[in-house]
Amino acid sequence: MLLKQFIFILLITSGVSGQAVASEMITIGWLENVRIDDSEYRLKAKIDTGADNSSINAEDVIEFSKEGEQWVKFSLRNAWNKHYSITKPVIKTTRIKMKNGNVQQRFVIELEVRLGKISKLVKVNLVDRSHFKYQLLIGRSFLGPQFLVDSSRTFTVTD
Amino acid sequence: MTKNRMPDKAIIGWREWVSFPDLGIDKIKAKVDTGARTSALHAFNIEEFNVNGKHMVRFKIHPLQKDNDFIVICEAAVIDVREVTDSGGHCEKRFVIETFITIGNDTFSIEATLTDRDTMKFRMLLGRTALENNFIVDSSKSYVLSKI
Repeated sequence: MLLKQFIFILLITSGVSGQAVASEMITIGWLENVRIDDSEYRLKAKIDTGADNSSINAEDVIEFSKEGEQWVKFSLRNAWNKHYSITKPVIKTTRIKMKNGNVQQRFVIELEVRLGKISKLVKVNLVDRSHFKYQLLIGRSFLGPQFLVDSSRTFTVTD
Repeated sequence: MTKNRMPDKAIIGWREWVSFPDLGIDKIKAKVDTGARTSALHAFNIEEFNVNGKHMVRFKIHPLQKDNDFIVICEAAVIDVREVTDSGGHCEKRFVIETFITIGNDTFSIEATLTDRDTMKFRMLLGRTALENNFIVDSSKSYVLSKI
């Protein structure tokens, strides 16, 4: 009985403090697991304060036209070798100058990326990151004023 | 989810002015890059030499982004020669030096690779190894600790 009351009070207080810190910044590591578009699909993401925008490794990218609009269909593959198919309208096509001087065309789409209890609609470049360890790179446009990055830590967010 | 920030770590922005007292660089703009493990300096005319059997390098740096006429000639001990993969997946052999860096009120030793890639917009990248003991990054801000 006493224990039940204690747990109840604990829940109340943690709920209150949870509200109080909602406007505070959340410290995350340089690697985190995120989820995509309300799904349970998990991706390991590298949190990169050196990048303006976010980019994702897109496989089998098919560009098509739907009611006069440009769309793309592509596939994700995560570290657990699970595939996830996404179909989205193209928001923008950018030309990126690579470090070797070549120009690459990239589609930009909008994805809902969830990190713990915070979810953000963020513009993501579709790229070939197949030679990289992490399929998703999260840049400053996602981090905004909500997240602080501690580069000594990884996978701090659990959900 | 961690909601408390480490009290002993200072917050820095994604760009900061830093200095290298032993290299004679009073100020250079650094990009604070949690996506990179190792720090990198954009150096050119890199030459190896020996002092009493100690492996050294001499190199030049343009510390100011838009001023290519201003050159600082630096010397540092080589602590390693490493294969480094850049974000384009290219592998390159680079010298690693150890030198002191000053950020805000802190001066500490860091390792940095020397790269002569001309396309680097920032002349200095501050990677995770240099950050991890001292700072956490607020990527919505710039020049938080810089007093220059």
